[in-house]
Amino acid sequence: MVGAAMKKSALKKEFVMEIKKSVSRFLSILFIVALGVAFFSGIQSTAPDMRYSADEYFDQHGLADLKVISTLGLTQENIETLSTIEGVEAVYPGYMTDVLCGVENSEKVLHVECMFSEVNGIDVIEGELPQKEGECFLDARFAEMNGYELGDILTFSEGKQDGEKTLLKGTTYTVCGIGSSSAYISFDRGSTTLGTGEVSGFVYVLPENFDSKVYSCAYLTVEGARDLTAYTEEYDECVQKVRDILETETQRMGKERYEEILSEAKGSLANANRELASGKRELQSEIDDVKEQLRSGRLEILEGEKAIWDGEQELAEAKEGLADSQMQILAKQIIAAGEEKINNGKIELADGQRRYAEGKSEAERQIEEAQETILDGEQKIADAQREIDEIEEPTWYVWNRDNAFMDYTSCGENAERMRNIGEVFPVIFFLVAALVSLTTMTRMVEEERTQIGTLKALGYGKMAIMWKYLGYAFLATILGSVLGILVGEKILPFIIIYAYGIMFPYMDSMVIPYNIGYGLIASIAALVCTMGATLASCYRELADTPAVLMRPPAPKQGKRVWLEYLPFLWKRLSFTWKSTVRNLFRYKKRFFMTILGIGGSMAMMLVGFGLRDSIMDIVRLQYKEIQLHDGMAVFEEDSTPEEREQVMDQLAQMENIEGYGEVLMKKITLQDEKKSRDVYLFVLKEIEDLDQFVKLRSRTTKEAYTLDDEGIILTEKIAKLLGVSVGDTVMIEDGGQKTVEVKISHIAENYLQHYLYMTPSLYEKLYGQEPEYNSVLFQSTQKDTETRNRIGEKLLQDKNVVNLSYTASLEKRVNDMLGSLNIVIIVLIVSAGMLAFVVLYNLNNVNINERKRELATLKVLGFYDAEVSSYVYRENILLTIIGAVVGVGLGIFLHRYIVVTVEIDMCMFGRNIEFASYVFSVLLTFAFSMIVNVFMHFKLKKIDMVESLKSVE
Amino acid sequence: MQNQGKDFVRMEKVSKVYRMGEIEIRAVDEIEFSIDQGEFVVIVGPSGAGKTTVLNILGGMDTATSGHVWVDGNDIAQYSAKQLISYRRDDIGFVFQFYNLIPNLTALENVELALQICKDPLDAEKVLNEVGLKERLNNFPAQLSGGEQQRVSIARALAKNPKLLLCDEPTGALDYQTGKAILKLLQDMCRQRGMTVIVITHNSALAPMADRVIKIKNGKVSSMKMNEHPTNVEEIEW
Repeated sequence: MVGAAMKKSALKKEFVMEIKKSVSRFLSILFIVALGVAFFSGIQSTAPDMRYSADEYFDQHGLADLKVISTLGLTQENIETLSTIEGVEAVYPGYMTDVLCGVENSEKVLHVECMFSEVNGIDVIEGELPQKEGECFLDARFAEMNGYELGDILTFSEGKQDGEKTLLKGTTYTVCGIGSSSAYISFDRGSTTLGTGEVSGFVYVLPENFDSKVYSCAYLTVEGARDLTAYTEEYDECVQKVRDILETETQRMGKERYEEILSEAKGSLANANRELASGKRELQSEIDDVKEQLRSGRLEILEGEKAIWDGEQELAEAKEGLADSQMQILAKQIIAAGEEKINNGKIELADGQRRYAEGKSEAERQIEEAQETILDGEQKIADAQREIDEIEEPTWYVWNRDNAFMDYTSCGENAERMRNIGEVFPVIFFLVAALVSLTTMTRMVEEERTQIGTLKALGYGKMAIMWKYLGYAFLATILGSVLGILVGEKILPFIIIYAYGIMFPYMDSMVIPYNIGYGLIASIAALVCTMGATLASCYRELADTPAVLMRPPAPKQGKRVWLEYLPFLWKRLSFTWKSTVRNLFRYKKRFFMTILGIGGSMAMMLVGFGLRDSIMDIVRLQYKEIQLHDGMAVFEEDSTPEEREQVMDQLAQMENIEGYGEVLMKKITLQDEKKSRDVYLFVLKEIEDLDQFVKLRSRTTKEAYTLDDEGIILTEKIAKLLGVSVGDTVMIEDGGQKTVEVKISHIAENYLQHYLYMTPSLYEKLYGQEPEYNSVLFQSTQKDTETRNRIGEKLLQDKNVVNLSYTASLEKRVNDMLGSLNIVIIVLIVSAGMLAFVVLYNLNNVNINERKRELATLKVLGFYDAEVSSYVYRENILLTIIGAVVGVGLGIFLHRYIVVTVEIDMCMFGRNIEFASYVFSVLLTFAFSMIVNVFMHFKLKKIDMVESLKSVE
Repeated sequence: MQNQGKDFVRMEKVSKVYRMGEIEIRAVDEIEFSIDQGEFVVIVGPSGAGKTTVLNILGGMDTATSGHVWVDGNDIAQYSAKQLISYRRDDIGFVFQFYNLIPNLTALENVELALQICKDPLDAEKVLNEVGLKERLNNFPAQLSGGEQQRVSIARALAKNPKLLLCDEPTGALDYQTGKAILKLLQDMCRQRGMTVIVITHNSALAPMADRVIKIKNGKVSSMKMNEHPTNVEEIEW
């Protein structure tokens, strides 16, 4: 048993010695496995890590899962019904509205919502949350871009007509806090029907600031959703289930509410009608009364007149009967009394007649008035009836996070993109790494054939012999994998999340767990490669008899290469070049591997540089070649055409204005079967001037397009997103107008945002009215900041100009945003460089070890060190050249794929790679090659002739 | 034999010591001998005696730890690495036991390889003809027999027109007949061109063919003998 124990320990010692002896080989396998695993598992982890990080932010802020809105608002009953629905955890009703916020002449649209304490959390950066009515919490980004600070007083206008009810109680609000909201994770603030259609910022106020009988919206949380991760299928399904139920429920509630409102309105109308009827009746009875009174009055007058006539008769008779003198005095008294009576009666009659006349005209006047009122009342009732008829059934919207919160989708899409990249890039990387470690292990086993033969001759079994090499491969691969996972899964996602984080500035959670799954996949693959190669190689060697193994291996055949059959070329070569060429073709495996390694890393470098070109270029292309206006001034919403003319005249007079044109630019929605996207509608009044402001052309051929009345021109990215092409039609939905269908005449090159260009005539044809131009584009003579500012100041002095935007500031913003991608690019280039270096080093190492004898012979023959080195260099240089060419081809293809996958929806990256990028990539590849050559030189120097030429004695 | 160039090669108290920690191995232990120009020298000795080490030192492939090595008046033991390379380049022709031809080059190209760095080379084709390989100029080593490969190796060494031709067990990998033919070739080259040839072998039967026989044992010269009338190789049987 001593023997067995000794056998084990001797072999074990040999194993350890082997590692120590060939440290550089051990480390090189380790590092290349580490690189491959790091890259693979790192990039693969990035997508889920992005989701975890986002989810952490959403959970911390309690972002709602659903939002319910109704065109007729939500009643308290609706809210209670919603909370009883299965799967709904809680319901948070609230208010919201859009307002115009004006300080001087710069009117922007703000979205005002009520603050919630438990859902859609907001973060305070400066100041504090609103504590009382009249205080507001302002969007930090909006504050920064428009120069608002704590304590500023904002004036809001809801853009309502006189007499219409506003939702907010007050119109002025003091900024008590500035910060971010989890409902707005990036830069988009949404759209509106006010102003230019774009919301510039959000504001939160306490619910008390709203005066409304119904709620504007309700946010809901779904049971169990919090425990799931955002953007995953499980989450989507969980929420969708509840959403489906809600959609049916809300339909029902909608009908109910409709009925409710309708009956309420009808009830009111019925009341009104009844009032009118009784009013009419009252009037009629009063008229009758008055008529009655008038009649009795008349009767009295008639009676009075009769009485007077009677009296006068009597008097006349009395006067006649006064012939007898006895009765004269008495009779005279009686007559006098009678005459007085008649006089009084006459006065009374006159009075009575006068009163009658007055009374009659008064009565007539009042009757007229009353009839007018009744007429009025009837008119109003008719109007009301019409309005009631126009009441539509309310529409209810049940939105999931994608629709409820701005940019929510794009965050998820970024993760998707990383997943896509993760499917291609790391695989290539890994492939190269695997091949290299494969070769190294194979070589190692082949080198040791003598030893293997000896051990075999000594009687050691196959397993005992093999386990050294298997162990070597295993150890190197495991250590490399562990290193790769530890480093790769933390660093790579960190870098990428950080880079994308520039688009989502307030999402500061970074959740980067170890996703052991990916690491395991990579490690197992690596193990399979290295151990598989070792196993195969061992079996091959061990198949031979010990005797054969102990003899030096039959040297590889020299063969004629195809190039030799072209004598005119072959003769030209100095024969060291001949040897080089033959060598290249002789070691085919090494040839392909080096090509792949160099080609792969060259490709990745090219992608890195090319990405930079594609991305950095779009700003230049967009604002210097496609959209040529230097600024845009927006008119006040209610400005009249004359007021707008005034502004235009001013522009005409300004000396630093080179050109200007009225335009209708507003956000509309394009609809196709399953998606809807926001696009800017662009209608230039003086359509002949279009070329001055916009160059509409094909991206590939640069052929210029003319806009005519037959159809619209759509920009390329949105056409792609909607899946439409020239000749197709799209539906345009514009908030306040009817939906129309248009045909696409051309698809134009464009890189930022989406635009739909239309002629004024086409607009008129579609909507039946002339476009209401809401802005004016202008071009300045000089493109510097001072000129711009001067133009802006002058324009804003006119109260009809409410907003001014400069292309230059837009350019800068976009550039800043894209700068984040620089980091991703640098990561790519550095990884590619490392790969190139390790591959070349490794292969050269292997190469030299294989040809030690040959190289030692050269040394013996008296070749100087430099000459020996260049013998090897020549091959390297040729390989690098061929590798570079392959790399260019691969790189162009990869670049195109990556660009298309990494693009954000709102922009289109250039598909170009600048010449400089090719140059850089090639230079860098050669530089790495050179560095490796330098290392190799030292290694070559160390080749001991004596050792290398030792015969097997 | 001509006697001009006496002491063409002289080893003076040359030692080669390997130190590994505390262990000291003396491959060559203060060895001393001299060789005249144009001699055919055979160095014999058992395995591990130090013959190859001596040859390596003479050939500028290895450096002596101490002592002087005079070759044509120059002490190569004092040479720097670079000087040694030049020495090997211009003054030495080496023939190995295992030929060590560049497998990717034809016979002719293998010889040309050595020539392109030479100051005053001979014509490759001519030399190959002289060693009897006229028909094999464009064959690769893999297409040549052992003996033919060794001939190429010799041609390569000769074409350099060196001062010294050093052969380390040149027939070690060859069969009896072929080996004899090779030795004859070497002998002829020595006689015809007046080249100084040193052959290492552990076959003492070859001693008669040499002008000088040096026996090395334990890193020291155990005996040195001169043959007045060296035998032609064809006549020797072993």
